[in-house]
Amino acid sequence: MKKSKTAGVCGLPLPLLKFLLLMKVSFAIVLITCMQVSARGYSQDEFSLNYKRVEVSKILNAMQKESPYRFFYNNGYMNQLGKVDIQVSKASLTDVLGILLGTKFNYTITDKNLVIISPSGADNNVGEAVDKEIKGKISDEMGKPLNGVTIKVQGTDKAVTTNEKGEFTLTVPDDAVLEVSYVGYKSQTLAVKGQKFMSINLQPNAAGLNEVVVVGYGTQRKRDVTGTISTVKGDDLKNVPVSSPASALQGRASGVDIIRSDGAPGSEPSIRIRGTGTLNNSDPLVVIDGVPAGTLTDVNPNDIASIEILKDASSSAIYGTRAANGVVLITTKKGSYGDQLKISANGYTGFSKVAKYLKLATAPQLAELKLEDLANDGNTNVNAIQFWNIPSNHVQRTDWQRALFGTGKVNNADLAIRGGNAYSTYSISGNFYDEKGLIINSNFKRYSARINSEHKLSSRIKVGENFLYSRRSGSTLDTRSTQAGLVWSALRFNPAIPVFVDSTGKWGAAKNAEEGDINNPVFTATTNDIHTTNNNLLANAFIEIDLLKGLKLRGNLGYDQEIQERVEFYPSTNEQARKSALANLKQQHTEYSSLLNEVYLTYNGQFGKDHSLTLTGGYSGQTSKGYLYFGQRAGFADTDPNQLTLNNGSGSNQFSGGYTYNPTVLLSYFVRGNYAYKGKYLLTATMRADGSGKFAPGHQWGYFPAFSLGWRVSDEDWFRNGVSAVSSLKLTGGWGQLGNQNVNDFQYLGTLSASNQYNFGDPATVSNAAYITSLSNPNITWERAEMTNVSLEFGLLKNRLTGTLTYFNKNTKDMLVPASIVETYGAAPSIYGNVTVPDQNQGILNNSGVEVDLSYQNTVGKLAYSVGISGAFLKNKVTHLYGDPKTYIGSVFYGRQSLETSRTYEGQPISSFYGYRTNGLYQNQGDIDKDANITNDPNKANIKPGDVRFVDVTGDGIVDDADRVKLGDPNPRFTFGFHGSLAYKGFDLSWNFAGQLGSKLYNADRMTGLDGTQSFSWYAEAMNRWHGEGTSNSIPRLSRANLNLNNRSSDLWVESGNFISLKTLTFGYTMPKTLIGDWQLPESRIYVSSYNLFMITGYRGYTPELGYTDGNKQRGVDVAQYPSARNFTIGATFNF
Amino acid sequence: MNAQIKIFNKIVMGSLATGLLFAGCVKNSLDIKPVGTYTTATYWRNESDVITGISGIYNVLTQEEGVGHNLYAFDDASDDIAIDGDHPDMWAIERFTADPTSYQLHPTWSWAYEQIARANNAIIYVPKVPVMNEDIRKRSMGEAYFLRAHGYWVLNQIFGEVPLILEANVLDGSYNVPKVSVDSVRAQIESDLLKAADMLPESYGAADKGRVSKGAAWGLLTKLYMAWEKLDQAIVYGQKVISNPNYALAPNYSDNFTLGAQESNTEILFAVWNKNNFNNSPVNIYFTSRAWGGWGFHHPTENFVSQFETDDTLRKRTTVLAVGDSIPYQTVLTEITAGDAYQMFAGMEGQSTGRMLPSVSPTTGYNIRKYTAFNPDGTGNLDGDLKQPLLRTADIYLLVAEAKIRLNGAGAGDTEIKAVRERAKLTAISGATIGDLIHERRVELGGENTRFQDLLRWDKKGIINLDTIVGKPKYASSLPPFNGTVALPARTFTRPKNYYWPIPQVVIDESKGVIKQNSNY
Repeated sequence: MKKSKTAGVCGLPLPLLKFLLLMKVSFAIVLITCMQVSARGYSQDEFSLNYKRVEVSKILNAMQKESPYRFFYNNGYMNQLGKVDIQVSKASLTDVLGILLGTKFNYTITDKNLVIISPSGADNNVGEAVDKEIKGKISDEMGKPLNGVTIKVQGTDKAVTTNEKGEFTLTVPDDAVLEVSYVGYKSQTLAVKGQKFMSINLQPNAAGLNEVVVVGYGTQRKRDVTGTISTVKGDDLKNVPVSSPASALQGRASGVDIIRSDGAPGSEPSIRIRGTGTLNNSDPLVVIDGVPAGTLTDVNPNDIASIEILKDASSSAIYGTRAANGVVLITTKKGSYGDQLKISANGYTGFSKVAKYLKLATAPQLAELKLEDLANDGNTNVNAIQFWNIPSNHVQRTDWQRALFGTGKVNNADLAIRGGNAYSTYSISGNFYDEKGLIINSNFKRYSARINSEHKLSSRIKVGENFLYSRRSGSTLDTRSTQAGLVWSALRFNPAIPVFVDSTGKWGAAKNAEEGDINNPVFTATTNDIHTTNNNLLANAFIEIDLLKGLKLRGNLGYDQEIQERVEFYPSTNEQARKSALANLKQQHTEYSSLLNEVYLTYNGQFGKDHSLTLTGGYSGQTSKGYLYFGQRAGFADTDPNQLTLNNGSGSNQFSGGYTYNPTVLLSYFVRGNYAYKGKYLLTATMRADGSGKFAPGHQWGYFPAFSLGWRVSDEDWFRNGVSAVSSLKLTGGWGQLGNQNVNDFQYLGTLSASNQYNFGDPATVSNAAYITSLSNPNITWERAEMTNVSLEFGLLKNRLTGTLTYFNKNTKDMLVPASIVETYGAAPSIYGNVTVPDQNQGILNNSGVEVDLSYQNTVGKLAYSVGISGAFLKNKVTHLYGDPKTYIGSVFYGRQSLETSRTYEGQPISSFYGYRTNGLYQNQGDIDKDANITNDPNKANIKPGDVRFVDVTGDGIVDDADRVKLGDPNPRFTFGFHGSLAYKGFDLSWNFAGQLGSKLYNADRMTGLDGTQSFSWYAEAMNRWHGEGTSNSIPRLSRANLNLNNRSSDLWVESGNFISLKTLTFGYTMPKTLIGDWQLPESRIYVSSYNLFMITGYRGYTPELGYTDGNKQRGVDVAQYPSARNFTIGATFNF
Repeated sequence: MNAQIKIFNKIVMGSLATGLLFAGCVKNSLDIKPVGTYTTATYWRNESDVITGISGIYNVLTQEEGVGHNLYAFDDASDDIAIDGDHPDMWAIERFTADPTSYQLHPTWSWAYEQIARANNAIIYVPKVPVMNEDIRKRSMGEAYFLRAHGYWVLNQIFGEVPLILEANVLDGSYNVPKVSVDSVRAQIESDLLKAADMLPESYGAADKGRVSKGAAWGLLTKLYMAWEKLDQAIVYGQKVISNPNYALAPNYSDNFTLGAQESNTEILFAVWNKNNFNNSPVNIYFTSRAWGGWGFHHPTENFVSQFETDDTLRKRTTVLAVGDSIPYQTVLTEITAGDAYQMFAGMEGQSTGRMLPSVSPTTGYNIRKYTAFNPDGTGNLDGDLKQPLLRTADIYLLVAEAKIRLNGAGAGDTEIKAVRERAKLTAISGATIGDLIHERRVELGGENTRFQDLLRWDKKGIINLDTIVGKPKYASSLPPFNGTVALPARTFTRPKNYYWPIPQVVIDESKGVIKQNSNY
């Protein structure tokens, strides 16, 4: 019954599936009210059977249909019984089974009406041992019975679970070994040794010290780990309504900064482990189930068993040249050996609203301000004055933010089937995630399927595979550009313009130069279409061979392929300010693939009582390649989406192009040894040699050593006897070198490109043109990070309070920095030029900090609760760039101003803000006349009251470029998370706060939103501008000429970036598996959840979480990013 | 278990393990090559590489932030043109308030050096190509020298003193070198142009139109010598151009700015050879009004338009678009608003027209006509084929005339002035003074980015006074609705500061003090 029902669900189309899930939600709600009925047991267990020469399995099947019992057996063995006769009336189950099975088979009947039939003997090899029934009781450390504990007979698939009284019954041979496991408690292995009754106490797994953590190329008991690894369990990530698991990690692990760059659907945050490790790509290496490939967004958060973050050199050194910025290991859920089939279905649905609107000038206010702006410059612009005096331009028609931002929606459904027998495990899961963003037509969808299985071919050979297919598609138009960005446009578009001019549906448009060259953002969002679909396949297969006792050989073959399709459509418009005569369609196809092969040996040995040694060593090779091409046509007669195919565009107005990515090759050899003496003195040593094809021969190989030591102080006798308050204490420390090869290819070669054209002839004919596209640096090689790490792990109050305190110091040496070449070599990309200058290995960047993790968990009566804090103090400083404190690395300009807001200087934190200091506004001419800052300034005559008083730092009486100074550091000094959970009976509540302190932000949007030179709409704050002595000391007067450049980069626009935000809050109720009549209801959990429920911050813009806007070179600059949303969801999970 | 099976299992596992180890350790080679790009080591193999590499230098000319448009913004500092649009850095140029951080200066600098870098590469590598047609090798070297000289010419006009980056700098990567004097820059330009004049052919067949010829090198030499006050030399090289039928004036003035008449035009000595969809003409986009699908940056002032003689209709119509004018294939209709309903549009509010309206040029009521062309396909798109003339024989005629007048007095340049006026269907003047010459240059070359450089040259010699010229406001059209309002109030010219613009701050910073800022900034 149950099986056929779920099989049906698998084949259902998604809308129907969603409907069914909703039905189940309501069904479950009804059930809560009639729960008392469900506890009733079965009494009908009498059978009347009459079969002749029928297989035993068929008889058992028939019994299963007539009764609540379900039979588990191995068909192969059951067939040994052949066909049998049976004729009984109102016989009990035990009688029937006795007749059918004779002495060749044993059976166990659990309290859940499961009948487990197995051959006599300890295992499948028929043995001489005689089975005996044993009983037992399992309780917790307080002596309370535990329900649902699994007791498994080692080496078999025989298993039972305890009843409400904590009791179990098993039939096993005398020499059997039982494995007892229960979520949240330490697992135990016990020999039966002929006992008839076993009383077992389980110890809570509070400290998690016996947990196993995933490390590179293997696993390790947490108690033996000498590096610094943060583990986040899948349970903490599940059902957070975000597209990427990375977003759900925010605030969960100390020293792991999740930096959201905007609130667009499908946007992936940046992950910075222990600070920004380099000016270049400082993303950590992501390894999904052992394959270093793919992106986090491909993975359904609900498929994740755990995420391990390798933070220090010792733990990540095994990944050598790609580990300098940390390693994120994702382990997905798998089936278990000897586990019955489990089905889990889950769904949630929700909506989101923009968390904040900015206050903008209304149409009447704007006209008033514009006229004042013109008057301040002497009323010379006749056209402009005429325009702003037209009465219809004083009518407020549209709030463009509200016109553009609607209600977002999110829907998620996933289904997982997992299980296994003695020889195989399997796991199949599927996910559908659908998010509609706040902005019209912005969305993100993901379909993903994951299949993995593992098989023991013999007692010594194991093979397995892991497939992930994911299809992500999303549509997000640019929000930030100061020409066409949607959010920028909404903040700058004249509020007197209506969305539609009239009922004919003609779009409102800027018609006058006074309104700026902006297109109606609602028009743009509605009619433009830019969407991208990514098809990703991540597959790997492995074989593991036990060569000798303790020696294993493992081979991995991994393949990662990404196919991206991108479509861009822009309609024609003659109405809008930015005209486009022809509709334009572009389609682009990109393929990228990488192949990984790895072979490694692991040796595990115990020498005598005191010495244990694990050695891992092997080879890894990874290659990648890819290409891109596109086609584009303009001139579509019919822009109906059904007619938008390239062939319908004008053939005389077409472009196409493409290129092949440079291939990459990475070859590596690695070895790691873990040695433990008496289990309390621990040593880990690692060495990796990496060769990369990105560098010139002779500079290709890098060698990266690391070691760490650990001392389990609490395992010393003197400690155990002397210090009772401290239940566990471990001290570790290490040092290592890591590499970063995540840099541009082939910088050792000067390259020429022969693609762009020029024309000659009468008539003009296109001819090829070639020119230098990059200069060369033959000596370029790896960036090298050197890290020292000291860590103290402790458990107090019987390990209910556990914590870790870590200090680290990381120096990135040989950091690649742009060669300081003066721009006499050609046109750099910063001015849209073609010549890239190769980097040079000469920078040094230091990150040092302290990380604290604390967690406390306890149970009071039926209330179980836990709270945790993770925090990291971080200091970032560029210690060397070019050996001259005046040299710096610049960043992009914002909009139409020609001053950078961010620069990276030697001796300062990376990407600090940079500009002029100010000291209020000049209130009257006297202020200007006597101001020492501008005594000799040639611009003095142009400065008027209401202008900004810029500070002459150099003291020469002139405000000029030399007076620009560091204005603030966008990198937070302290990032923290605060999370917790409560569980009472079936109810659960959990929350997660994330926040940061000690960072500055640069509000570039406000800088331009108050800029009198801009022919756009302004912030409502402009009403508070200076317009007479004493009216303002911070918002300058309006002026188009703006000869004092009041709105240049200065501290007027720098704000604090401190915030604390409630990222997730979830409340749920779980109902255990219940029987109602013939119906077995699944374990069900209903939950409501909110993401980004509230934020405490003093920041004026949409959100202080601004992220990066120019690689690592600019952070925390407000460029009208897609605002973040506040999200509410409701969902349900069913475990069958 | 039986022994044979055990042995068999061991063999299977052993071979599996060995196989795996081998499969893993098969060496992937680290020796990989970039795809789709050449390296300096693998390029410059043959004649085809040379021709393509030379085209690569010309390709810079199409850059809108360089020759393609930005240079014209520097002429907004003159009295002829007023800037519109939303680029504060361009306003600063017009008002003489530009400082080293004004954006406009940075790309101007970089694209000139880009042109020089590409030319340097050709000059280094073309002689090394083992086998190729020697005529083409010679021509190619001539083109490279000419285009390098042109890069330094641009830098010299805008910034004055600049660093010289030549072959040796490229080979040893020494890019951070101090500025050299204005004279040294000019000497380098002279030397390159003399080599180019030597190597370039006098003219080209149809397939190679658009390449620079001897005439272009002589013409640029003439301009160089005028700026350098070497008037004798200017006459020598100017005569070579104007006496050579390969560089004769076009029969119609408008042929210089009309597609179809530009390509085989002998008068165009040097031009950007644009083509639709490949290198769309940037000037077309930047000069054409916004209402008609361009950006409408530069607008002629009443100060300039009023200078045309009454009979000078050919040149005026080719140069200036005034209210009521129309352009072939211009199909974008604009609604006539109340503000437009003057002159010929009185009483036509609400109707639409393709003709020039006052609101089409909100700054001065005029547009420059020379760089506007629409696609004959009727789509209303700008025609990206329009060529962009950078140097015309008429300019050389007037420079020769100027040199002669300044050396030998009024009337000495009558012959050259007459040639230019006759082509404009105007009567000759006799005894032409320097004042007549200044007038003739202004109207003949209006909108062609010569006015401000002319004014600077004359001001330095005391022939005119720039103070009084920029001390007058820029006026909008005298016709309604503008009624001669002030488009830009009077400005102040600071001597000698404003003879050159400041070097971009970013360059000064990058050079760590090696490159010094121009004086007075």
